Amino acid sequence: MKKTTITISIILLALIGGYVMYQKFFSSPANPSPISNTTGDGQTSAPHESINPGSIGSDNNPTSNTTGNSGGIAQAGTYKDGQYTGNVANAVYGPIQVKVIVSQGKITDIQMLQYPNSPGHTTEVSSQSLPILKTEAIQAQSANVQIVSGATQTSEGFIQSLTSALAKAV
Amino acid sequence: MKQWRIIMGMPVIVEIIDRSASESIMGRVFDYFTWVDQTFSTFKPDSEISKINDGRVKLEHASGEMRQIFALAEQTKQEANGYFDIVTNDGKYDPSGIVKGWAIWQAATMLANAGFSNFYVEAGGDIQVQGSGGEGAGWKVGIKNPFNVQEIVKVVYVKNNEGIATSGTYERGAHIYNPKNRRREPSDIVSITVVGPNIYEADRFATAAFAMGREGIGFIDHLNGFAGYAIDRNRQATMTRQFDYYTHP
Repeated sequence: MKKTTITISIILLALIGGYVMYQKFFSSPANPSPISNTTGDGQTSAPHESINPGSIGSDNNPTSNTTGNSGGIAQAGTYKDGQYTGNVANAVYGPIQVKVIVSQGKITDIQMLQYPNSPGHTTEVSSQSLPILKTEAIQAQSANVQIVSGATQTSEGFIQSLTSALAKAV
Repeated sequence: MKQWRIIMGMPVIVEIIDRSASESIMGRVFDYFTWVDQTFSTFKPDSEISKINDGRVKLEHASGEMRQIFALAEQTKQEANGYFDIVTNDGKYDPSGIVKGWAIWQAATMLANAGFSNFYVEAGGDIQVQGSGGEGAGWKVGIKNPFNVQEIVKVVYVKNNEGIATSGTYERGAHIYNPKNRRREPSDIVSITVVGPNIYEADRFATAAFAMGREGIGFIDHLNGFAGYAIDRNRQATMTRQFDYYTHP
């Protein structure tokens, strides 16, 4: 269970981090979905090499993983160099706040300024990388397929069941 | 040979490519789904699950299949960090979130044991494939567009007898709030498709991942042997690192 909690925490960090960056760099009313068709892992980095979260808690280490990784989301040169602190976001396990460090237009580090107080996360989280996943805008496909997968249309009971499950997951 | 019936309130489709396909094997598969419905449907007052829910049958005296489903549900709850539960708000059991995938998997196993090697079994958009659909290796599966159910938005090549399941709601305005933090925005994920080692695995983790909202696709990304494709309300899709493998024939 603890392992799962840790895993979820890591995912959460990735998502919040990504969201903060998204807010920071992409929010623009004139161009609401600019991250379409960008590749999270980047064209040049291996799939499992993504941004290192840096150390968690008081032991921040801004030098971690500062080389050789495009960090995904944007292509080179998209960001202005500097350090950007995100808003405090409420995550599943508590408030979270990140600082993003950009160097030569690339994200080189994400530091956690605030991190939820879930027990036992510190060392294990800091030893794992945060995946940034590839995104794309959906488009209708003309290809003929043999089978179609979709959500069952009996969604009312499904929603009820999910909501009740969630009520207990608090 | 391809046949379908409406069972459990949804279309159940079986296609067998092998020439030895027969009415009788089709009948056995549909009979099995009918039995599942009669046993596990909470809408049927005399189903075994209804008898458990109103106290006529004690869980410890329930059938082996029922106890197996309860055990699998408990296991899934643990593995999904609580984001899966067959106990409803009013304290009743509703195992429908796990029964469908399990039943499809059992039906596919039945066909394989009967000697068939190229077929699929689908119930309500959740699919177990075996062998090939006749055009190259594996089966070519489309992911339905949540915004237009007549369209597909992604083609997935399922080559290794995997299962593929989609969880989601295509109803506008049906938001699921995450009660772990009520100040958060409701989830903006409208569907998540999961490919897994079999349909039982794919279905249960698709259900759990959908309940996780934004975090769900990352949860799938961290599961060994699984791939996922989540679509949000802005028509943006996010895919796991393993998903790319399934986009090529």
